[in-house]
Amino acid sequence: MKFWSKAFLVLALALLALPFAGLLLWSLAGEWPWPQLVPATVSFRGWTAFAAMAEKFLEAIVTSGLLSSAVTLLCLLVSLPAARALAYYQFAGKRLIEIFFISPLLAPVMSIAMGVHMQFIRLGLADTLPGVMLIHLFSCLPYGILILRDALLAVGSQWEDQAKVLGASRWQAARYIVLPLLAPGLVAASVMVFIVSFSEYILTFIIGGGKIVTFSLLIFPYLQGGDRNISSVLSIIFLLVILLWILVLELLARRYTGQGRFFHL
Amino acid sequence: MIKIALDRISKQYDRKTVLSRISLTVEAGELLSLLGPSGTGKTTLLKILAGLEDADAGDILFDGQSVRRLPPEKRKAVLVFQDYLLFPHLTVGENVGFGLKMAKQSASAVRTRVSEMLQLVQLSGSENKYPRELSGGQKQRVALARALAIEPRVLLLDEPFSNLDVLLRHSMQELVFAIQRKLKITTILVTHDWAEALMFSDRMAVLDNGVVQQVDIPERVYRNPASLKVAQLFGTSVNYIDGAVRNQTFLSWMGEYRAGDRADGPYQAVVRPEQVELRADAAGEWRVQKKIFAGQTTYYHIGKEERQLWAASPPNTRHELADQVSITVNLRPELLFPKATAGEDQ
Repeated sequence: MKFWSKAFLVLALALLALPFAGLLLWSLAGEWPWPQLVPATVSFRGWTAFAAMAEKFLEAIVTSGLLSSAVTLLCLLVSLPAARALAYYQFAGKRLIEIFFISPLLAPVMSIAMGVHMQFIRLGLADTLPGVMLIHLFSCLPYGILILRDALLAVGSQWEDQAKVLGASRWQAARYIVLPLLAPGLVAASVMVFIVSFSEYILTFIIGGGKIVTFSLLIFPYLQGGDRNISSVLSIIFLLVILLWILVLELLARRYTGQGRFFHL
Repeated sequence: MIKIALDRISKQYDRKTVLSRISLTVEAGELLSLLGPSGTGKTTLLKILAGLEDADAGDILFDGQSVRRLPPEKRKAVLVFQDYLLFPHLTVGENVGFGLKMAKQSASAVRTRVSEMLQLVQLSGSENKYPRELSGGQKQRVALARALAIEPRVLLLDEPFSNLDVLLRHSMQELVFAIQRKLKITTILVTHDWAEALMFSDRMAVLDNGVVQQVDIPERVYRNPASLKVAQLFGTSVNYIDGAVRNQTFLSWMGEYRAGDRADGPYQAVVRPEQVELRADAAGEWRVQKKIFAGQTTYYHIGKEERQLWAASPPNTRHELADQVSITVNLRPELLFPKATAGEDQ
């Protein structure tokens, strides 16, 4: 590797690792007077406080995990056909539709949530799990569609054509050829969508009306409250859940596309 | 073995006509090559035959039966793409067996057929390799085996050898076309390589501007091209001589030549370099200005005042730069083409 490549790699690692190291230190810090680089005393106050409330948090983590997993699954199911149309077909107004798909990223979430809230109350979706899932889906779709569109463009439509002329139906071509080739893109989209949904605070708060208690909803007061020990511990847990999700996805993808595993002769 | 008939196939993209009422028949078991400049819709025609694209109008008949409404997976017209498209996550065996597996054949039937096909393309025992472990020629052979495994009714080859180096290309051409003859499978070959088309096809079809310019056996297409466009396909260093026909004689700066039964008017003569004979001649008016040695042939660019000509000589004749030569031009009436009138593009 060239010197600059190495230097940038180290820089990137440092940028990723330093905040995490800071979190770790803060979660264990007792007294940490101003000019010192490391805490003066070690304290497990944050962790013991967390352990005392573990049951409540665990419940929220499970709720969040299931909610975000369901949102991710739904999001991919909806995104894939849309992304495919954007990637492989030319049609009038395509640019306009692309902009429409990105628009949830541009408009302030707050205004959207307020607007939708009244409708949700009328439809009986406010304060319910389906309502929260729906609003999460709304804010996640742009990520799913954009990532999958680019992944599909990178894979190309020729594989599906080749599978079809060899006698594969549309579904066989998707199952045996296109989806395995698309696996990295699917993993990337799932990770992104999961993170967006898992971190969502304001939409969950407004639409869920405090009835649907997700992990982000639960940790928000601690982050705002200024107790650095506890908020650091909670942030670490937050990161671990997401890392676990990525790990599971990677394993699933590997199992699906792995050598000689999915297509036995 | 099936006979293919294309009946007035038309196709447009973005209001640009790619294929315009193409009618063409391919006899059962025949190898027909499709030749023509880039962007003339050759690949589009293959995709229409395979069912991957639909024509705007016209029909495709396999043995008299329309297949235009048949989806690609039911058509059994296998397209082998230029870059082989071996499924990278599947082994060679799984690739070759893919079509049979999709047709829900038993595992043992698939295994037997796969090993048969790999034997046919001289790759026995490579079942468990992955495409990334194969060389270009091997990938090509696996792609062919995969196509042939499903016993296709029609084989469609899209520039199958263009990614191979010259030596490999020749041995692959021999192998692929020998297999085609042996299985007598009706085949359409799209190619840019006119020499390949001349050597291996039963008949050639020349496509230009979305229209079939000529369909015939290779020798006749080469010797009696139907138009200037067709004549221009073959070889480089071709001379174009402007002149006119009067009373069945072609008049130009080269002198007078018999013009057969051509009508009077402005004409352009195509003179291939091998039609210009050179003789060493101290009093010759022509001088050798450039010499290009190409092994079996040597090309000479010769000049006389402002006139320039390309000539090709067999290896036993030798001329050097600045040598004086005299020439004999063997003009052939079949290679005289009416000159496009002003405003019309050539």
